[in-house]
Amino acid sequence: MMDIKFLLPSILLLVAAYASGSEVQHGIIKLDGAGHAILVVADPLVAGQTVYFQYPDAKQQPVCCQRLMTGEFTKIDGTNALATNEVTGNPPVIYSARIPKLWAEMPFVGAATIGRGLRTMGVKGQLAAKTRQGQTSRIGICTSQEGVHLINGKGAAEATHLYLGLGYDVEHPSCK
Amino acid sequence: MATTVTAELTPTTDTTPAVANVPAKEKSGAQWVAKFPGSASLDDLEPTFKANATKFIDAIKAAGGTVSIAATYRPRERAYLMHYSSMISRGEITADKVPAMAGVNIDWVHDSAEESKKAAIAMAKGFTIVYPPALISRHTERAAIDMTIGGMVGKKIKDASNKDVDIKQLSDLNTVGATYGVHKLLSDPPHWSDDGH
Repeated sequence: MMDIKFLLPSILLLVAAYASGSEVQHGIIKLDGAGHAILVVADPLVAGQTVYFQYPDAKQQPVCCQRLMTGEFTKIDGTNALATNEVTGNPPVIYSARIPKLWAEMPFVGAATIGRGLRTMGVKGQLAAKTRQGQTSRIGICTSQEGVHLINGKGAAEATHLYLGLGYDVEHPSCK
Repeated sequence: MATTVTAELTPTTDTTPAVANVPAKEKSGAQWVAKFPGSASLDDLEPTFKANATKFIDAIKAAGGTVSIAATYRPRERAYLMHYSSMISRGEITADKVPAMAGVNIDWVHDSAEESKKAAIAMAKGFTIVYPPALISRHTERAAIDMTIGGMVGKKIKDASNKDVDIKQLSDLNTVGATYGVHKLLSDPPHWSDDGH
């Protein structure tokens, strides 16, 4: 019989792996139209998960979804990114990745959902996701005067609120 | 490369030839992206706002905080180039209908409508435009600053009347900034201006 000293850590590892596998977080994805992506998230990416993200259709409208594994992203210095986490006040974590140029031929900003084994679909310009456990989410991007917001939840229940500056003034902000 | 065309103009009352240098227009295209760059210098702000912003930033630094300025002045010329390259690229205006702007010697019209649009798309891509840009803002009026402020939570800062203010959360700086004439735009975390817009 396996010694409890060895069994317990194994159980804890399994529980941790299951827990991380069921975790979902949301982010902002920026595509530069030249084969590069920037991902802004509140917490570090977990190995082995998938990043599902919106990309533009022919009319530059967001559609769901392209996918990359978290291992394809590289953490970068986000000092000059003008990105904030409005829930915690802590600096968000920023990653870059190479993507096929055909995924976005013009610059684009969209929503991303990160998790394992998610079912995703586009709903009215937003990204809807469902976990294996049945947990659902629906997120989208809106614009303020100079940047984009990704908000999940409302008021005190706001779970995610990320901001990314665009570097110019937007003519018609859409956030309400 | 811009070339110069010289035209001789001869008035009827004075027959001495007058010479005017009219620079030839430069076709639109990605090379325009590098022209009229934005600034991150306080020196490029309107004098009153520059003085106010400088005092506010000095107060933050004196309190032990850090400030990283991302943008101050955005030239109107750059906003014009961004605005209309985006409009042409999205098919909202044709190149021949774009109004001219003094100081921007750009020729939006190429040999065909398709080529004009292609050049505008190259510009919009170079500017990394995602959403249609505005023509006028507090930045084009030298009255706004985008900056990241750090290390202020838990510190005391002096407001413009020299009164100590406890900063329990970063948003506590908003009222302090207002005493200096530097107002927070709540929707955009890095953005402060002379009127809050």
